[in-house]
Formats: sequence, C-alpha cells, structure tokens
Amino acid sequence: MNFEKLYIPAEAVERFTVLYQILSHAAKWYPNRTAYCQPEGKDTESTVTFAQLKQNVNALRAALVARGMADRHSAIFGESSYQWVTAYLALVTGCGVAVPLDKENPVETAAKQICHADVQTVFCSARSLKKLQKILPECPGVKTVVLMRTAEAPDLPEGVEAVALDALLEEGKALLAEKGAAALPEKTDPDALAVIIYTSGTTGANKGVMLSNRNIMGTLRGCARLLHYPRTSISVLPINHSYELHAHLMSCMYCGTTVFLNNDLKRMLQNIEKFGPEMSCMVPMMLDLLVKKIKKQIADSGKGAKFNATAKLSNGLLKMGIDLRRRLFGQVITALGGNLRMIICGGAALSQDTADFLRTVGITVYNGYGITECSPVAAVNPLAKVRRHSVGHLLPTMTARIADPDENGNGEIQLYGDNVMLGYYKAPEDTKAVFTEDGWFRTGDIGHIDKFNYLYISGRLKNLIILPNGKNVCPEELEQALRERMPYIKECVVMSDEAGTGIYALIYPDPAEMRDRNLTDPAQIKAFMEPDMQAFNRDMPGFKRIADFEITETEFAKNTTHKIQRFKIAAVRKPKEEPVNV
Amino acid sequence: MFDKIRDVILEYVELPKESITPDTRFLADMHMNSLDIMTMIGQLEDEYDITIETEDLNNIYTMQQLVDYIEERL
Repeated sequence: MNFEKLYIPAEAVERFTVLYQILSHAAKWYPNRTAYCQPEGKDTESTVTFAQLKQNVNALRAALVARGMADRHSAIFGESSYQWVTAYLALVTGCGVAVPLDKENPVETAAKQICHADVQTVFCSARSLKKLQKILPECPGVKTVVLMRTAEAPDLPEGVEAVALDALLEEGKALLAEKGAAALPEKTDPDALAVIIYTSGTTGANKGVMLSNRNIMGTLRGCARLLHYPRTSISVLPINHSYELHAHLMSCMYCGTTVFLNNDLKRMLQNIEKFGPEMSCMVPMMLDLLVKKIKKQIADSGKGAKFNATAKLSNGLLKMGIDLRRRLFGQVITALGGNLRMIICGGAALSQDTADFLRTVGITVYNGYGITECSPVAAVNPLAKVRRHSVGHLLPTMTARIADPDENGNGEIQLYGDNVMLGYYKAPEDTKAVFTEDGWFRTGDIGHIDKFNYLYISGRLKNLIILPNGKNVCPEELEQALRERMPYIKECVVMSDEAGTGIYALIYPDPAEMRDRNLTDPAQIKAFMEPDMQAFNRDMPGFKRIADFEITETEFAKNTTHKIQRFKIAAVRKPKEEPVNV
Repeated sequence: MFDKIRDVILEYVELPKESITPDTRFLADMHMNSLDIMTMIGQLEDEYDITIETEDLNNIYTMQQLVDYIEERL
C-alpha cells in the first residue's frame, strides 16, 4: 500500500499549533519521500527523506537535552542545507530559542546580533567558519560552536567548545535507543518564544523579532488554506529570512514537497535547469532575471515574431478557459528545467508586466505580502484566483483593518491575529511604537482592501528602501555610516533609483572643509571622495553598497524639526540621462 | 577575453555593444543589479572553469578589473 498518494486536505493543518506537528505529519504521510536535496561539491548531491529528517531532529533534541544545552539561545549561521533545517527544527521544538543569522552580514553586525540575542551556542556551517572566527572574540557569551557539514575543529577562542553536528546526532540516537521518548524535551509551549529573527529597523539599529510556534503556524495554516505546493520546489532565497524559512520550507514540509536547496546564488539558474522544479519562492529581481533568460532564448532561436503571435492566441484561449501554454511554450522554458509553473513572489514590489509575461509562458506568479513581524505572510494570491496588481488575499488566520483611510480607501494597514509577533527582543519601546493602543500591529505600509478581501499596497509610511531582491535598507542607517566614515560630509541623503536596482547618495559636503582642501568644483569634490566611497563599499554587504553618488552645493530642504524632507529631494532629483559610457 | 565577457554581460543589460569599454563600471554605468552580477559570475566560472570568490567581487568595479582577475586565475 502506498500512502504517499493520499490527498490530505488543508483543514488537517488547522489543529496544529507547533512546528513539530508539521514534521511528524510529513514523516507519517511521506516517510520515504526526499525532503531535501542539496549539492555536495560540483556534480554530486545528498538527500534526506522526511522520516530521516524527523529522526535527526529528535536525535539532536535528545543530545541537546542531555548536554544541558536545551534552554539556550542558539544562532544558526551558514548557507542553506538540511543540517541548517535540522538545527532549526530541533531548536524551535522545545530546545531553547533559534536565532537565524544572515551569513552575508558584516562581522560587526553579526557580532552585535549574537550578543544582543544572548546567544550561547552557534550552529555554523563549514563555509561560514572563517567569518565566525572573526566574530567570536567580540561575543564572550558564546560557549559552544556546533559544526555543520564538517568535523574539523577550527581554532576558537579559549573557553569555546567545538562539537560536530554529526557527533551530536550519533549521541542523540544512542540516547533515544536507550531511553526512548524520555530523552526528548517536554512538550513545546505554542506561545513561548521560539525564534528571534533580525530585521532592519527604521531607527537604524537592527531589531530582533520574537516569534512563537503559534505565530509561525499562523502563516503555515493561512498559506495551506490559500495554496497547495506541488511535488518539487527549489529554495533560492537566504534561508535565514522568515519568508523563505516559513512561507516556503516549512509549508513545503506540510505538503510533502521535495525541496532542492540551492546554496549559492551564483548557481541559481544552473540549478533550476538541472533540478527542474515545479515551483519556487522568489523576489521580483529573480523574476526579472528569469524573464531576461526566457526572452534571450526566444531571441536566440530567431522566433520572436512567432512567439508574439502564439502568445496572443494563447492568452485569448486562456480567457476562454483553454490552457495550451505548456504545449505551446514548453520549449521556451526548457532553460528553466521545463517544469516550472508556480512562483510565489514577495519581499518587494512586483512589476505587473513581469508577472504577465511569465503567465503567458505558463508560469503563474502568486504575489504576496508580508513582513517579518507577521511570521511573515499577511496576504498571498490564492490558487483559486490571482488578481492582477493585488498582493493577495488576506490570510484567513488574521484580521486586517485600514487606519484613517483617505477618499480612495488608502490608509495604514494594521493587522491582528496569530501571525503577529510577540514583540522585539529587549526593546519594549520599539515594540510599543509598532502596536496601537488596542493591540493591532502597525505595518507602516499604506494600502486598501477590496470587497473580496484582496490587499493592494500603494506606499510606505517609513523611509525604508526595499530593493527588488527583497533586502530592506534603512536610509538613515547608511547616511549615518557615511557621515561617520567621511566626516567632511555635512548632509547626505540615500535613496534608490527609479528602477530600484541600486542605491544612490546625494551628498552635501561641508563647504569650509572643501575650501581648506582647495576643492571648489563638484566634479573635483567627487573625484576626491571616490576612493573613500570605494573603501566604504568594500566594508558593506553587497545590497548596501552605494552604486553612485552626486554632489550638491546646497543644503537639503528641512521641516520645522530640522529633519530633511526626503520627498522634496526625490521630486527635484533629475532623472538619469543615459550615462552609459564613462 | 574582453569580448567574451562583454557578450555574457549583454545577456543581462540592454546596451549597445560598443558602449561597453574596459573602464565601464558594473554598478554605476551599466546599472547591473547584484543578482545579475552573481549570475553572470556563475556563468563565467563555468565558462573558464575557475572559482570566483564572492568576497573578491568587493574589489572589482570595472570590466578591466574583471578581465584581469580572471586572467590571473587561468
């Protein structure tokens, strides 16, 4: 008898309150199905089934309890891997608190987060060990480093113990064989703090979002009601992001979806082609790249005119309910593995043209909206009906309202429900600021909700720059960093360009300082600043680099409280004329 | 090698071929985004059978710098 073909209704998830139930569910219904497949070197892969995953998670839980490490805050640092997922699942199911860290963060930021989150154990992958060695001297609270995908102990500061994850798993398996369920931690409290995820805050400092199992299950339950994931998927976003971790990986586990873990952005396209997944979760920048690839394939085949005619015909038929896209455009998407048909998109604003193009060739984009504070999904377009321009149907697990709507119904989106976080870690003032007096979470985004409960976003209250890769950049944070690094900057404003592809700075240098250096012309000043800016960029993670900057000779317009009025700058800033050649 | 790399770049940006010179910068002039750059690097790694460290990209701003970097590793 093969149980793997059984249909499991979305309602089954309704009774789940902790992530462990999702894992047990997957191990029960899809025991021998591959849960994760990951590259090991250039041409080899390793896999783990759902049953093995559960066994490993339990072994790790038993080992952590036995070693007295089950009540610690533990960071997970490294690229996507099933070892990462094993550590995460063990930690959130009654073994303390998981702190997923961004492996791309600069050493100082990672150290600050480890200290702020009171981390005592760090699960670190072989590839991130070098960076961790630089971080650890700044983090006296760390007692143990658990090595993932390696057993070679590195040089660590005195007092820090290193242990291999594989050794812990062996230890745990022996304990389970000996003591059975008694070796495992007590039942997980669905409302206890389980995860701290750092997000860029508007105040400049990163904030630790505290989530419980119930919060995360809010997202999983809501997504299960609106979507059903197909048999195979590929994970291409950073695993430490709530969107990838919960909306994708954990939801896939519920649906028994096999996920290929792409552990290097450089190899995203090659791995999509090789693995041929049916779905993925992406950010708009990735969709743009897919569109470029498809268009190139069409152009290379010299069938541009034929494609346009077929697209027209296909879209017409689609309106009548006849879907021939696979048959007509199967060839076009071979560069994407040939099976891709569903992409959940979030993290930043999606261009409708991109979504329409992909739909034409048979890939439906389910645009969604979420924020880390909501674990993270608040709305997503359901399988049943994708509405153009909308960020989706509100999750059935939460309630939404629009505060102070204008004549078009647009106002601040406020949310209430299981998804909403417990608060910011050790920041009661920040927490207070994002909740209304009656307990609703203020998203800081402006939008409206239609009569079918679909959400539309029209703007932001905060100054956050959201890049198409989903990374949030707080302009105030970068501006402060620029001023500290180059003290001759009197004022500066950081913004993204019209297309949102890069970050640009408008700089007003201190006139006295410039006079002292005999610099009068903006071009001279720019040339003088160029090396400093390059040095600044070298220390910044890729998405925070200043692509280009301009010098202004006048101060910025300010309001009565002397804050720079950003919207005025955006309005007066000249559109870039084709500066293609230097 | 310059021509080869330029052909790869033209898969990502819509620019006239002749506008890309050794001094052209990836971010400021060609407006490439980080994902385009990463994917392009992956493609070049396969093309030349080398490994390009992500950290090294921090010091590569122009076409010429990339050409030099790859030539050194061949």
